[in-house]
Amino acid sequence: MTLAEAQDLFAALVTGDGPVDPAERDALLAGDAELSASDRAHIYSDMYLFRLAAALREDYPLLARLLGDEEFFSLGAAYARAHPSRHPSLARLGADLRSSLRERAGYRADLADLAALEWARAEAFVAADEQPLGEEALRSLGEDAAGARLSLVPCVRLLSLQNDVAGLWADLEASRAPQPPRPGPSSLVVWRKGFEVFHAAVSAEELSALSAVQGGATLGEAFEAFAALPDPTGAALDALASWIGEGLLARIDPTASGPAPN
Amino acid sequence: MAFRRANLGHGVGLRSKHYARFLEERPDVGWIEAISENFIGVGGRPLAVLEKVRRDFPVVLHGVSLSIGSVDPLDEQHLAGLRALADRIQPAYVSDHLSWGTHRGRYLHDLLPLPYTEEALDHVARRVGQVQDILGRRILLENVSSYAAFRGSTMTEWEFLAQLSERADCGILLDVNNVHVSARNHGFDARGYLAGIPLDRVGQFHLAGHSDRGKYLFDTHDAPVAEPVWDLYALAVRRFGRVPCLIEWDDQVPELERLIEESRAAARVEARELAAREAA
Repeated sequence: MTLAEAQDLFAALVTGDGPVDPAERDALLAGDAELSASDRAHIYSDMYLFRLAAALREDYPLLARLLGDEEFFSLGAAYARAHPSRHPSLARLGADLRSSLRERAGYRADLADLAALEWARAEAFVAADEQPLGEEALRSLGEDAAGARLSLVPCVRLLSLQNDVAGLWADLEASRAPQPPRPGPSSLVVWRKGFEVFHAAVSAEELSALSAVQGGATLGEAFEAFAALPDPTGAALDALASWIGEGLLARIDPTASGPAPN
Repeated sequence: MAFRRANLGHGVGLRSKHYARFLEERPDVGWIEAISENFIGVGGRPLAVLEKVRRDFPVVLHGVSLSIGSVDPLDEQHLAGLRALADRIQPAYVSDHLSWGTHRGRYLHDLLPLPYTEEALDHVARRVGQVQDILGRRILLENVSSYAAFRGSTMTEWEFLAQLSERADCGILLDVNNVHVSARNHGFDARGYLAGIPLDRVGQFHLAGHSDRGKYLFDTHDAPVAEPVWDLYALAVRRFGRVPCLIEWDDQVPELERLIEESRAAARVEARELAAREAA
């Protein structure tokens, strides 16, 4: 048997993805009076799902608290089977749990949104560092500010959700009884300041403006998101002050002013 | 860039439970081992901790996802990230495991055993060469705890490791606990394993706790070093001399003081055995 054939067979034993002929397994692995080849293969297959579910628990501690150990393991194992890891870091395993929860019946309607918030916070915690833009740098743009193309610091995550889960998150974090689902559109911004991760509810217009900045729009273009509000200029200036204060903006490239690149 | 043993003393693993301590003070440890995958491409607190630790101590980058024995292609993106991290941190060593954990593009996140054959030896030696070229440095490969062995193996694990280290000019991270666990699980003599490892290739030791599951030992890293492993470590010091030694404790991680005490216990065993070796 070649190395490749041995690994094909061993991987099938570990993941349980397909049936393995017991005769082939016994020809591959040595067994003894203490542990048969089957026993030995099971040590690896049991560890496989346990390890992946444990890794998911690291990134989704509040979801795990809400579901309880048994249910979370069941969810994690099913997810791990359906979403094989493609990244060397286990910390990336849970990237698709939100969409997986949306497709899975039998859970609270807001679990996918809670998962989205926990994942965004986990990503923000380890996102690459970048010096945020200060008020001075912005002021130095003067009249060119509307044409400036900024970016968001790498830790910022923008969430457009179908339920308001900020309260649920706070209840679980404080080990209080979780409130029932609160359906309805909700916009959250997640970011890191120093080493601490924050999230805050924002208006749909502000989320849209931040999304435009993230997508490469100029400040002027981004602020068109506020156009339908009674005081669009005031809303834009308030938002900008908040973004600067929380350190969400980065990199001013004056040479990049002008139309957005195609 | 031939393999050379570093002189580091006794260290502990960097775990998130102790991040605040390492940020705020300089604990009394000799050196630090950090899991490479936890720091590749990240910023924020983890990277800040690693950089502070590096200012205070020698650091070893220890990986778990190299999958050196897999027939899958090497993950070039991962290796580029590892190279960038190593360039930034300037570790005393970069290490990973003699195992495989990727299959047809999928990461299994386990340290799976290899069949010890000439084909596997050729394959792994070639890949170690590629990795060392990419990283621009020699690596250490660690023996893993195993629970299954291949009928097709034509040599022992220690023969494989010895030949690999010579052929690829890499170092060996000799995990003494893993030798003990695998010896019990497969019924070989742990002392014979140590005797089969070349003296000049061992760059580091690992010590850790395991659990006894009745019919087999399981490598859990969640407990103090067991007595038989201390005994085997004593033999290893007698054979290999002064080798950097690390306590691994990854689950149910104790307070830092307890971890440091375990590291000091290893230092005491080393001092005792080196003195005995000197006297002999």
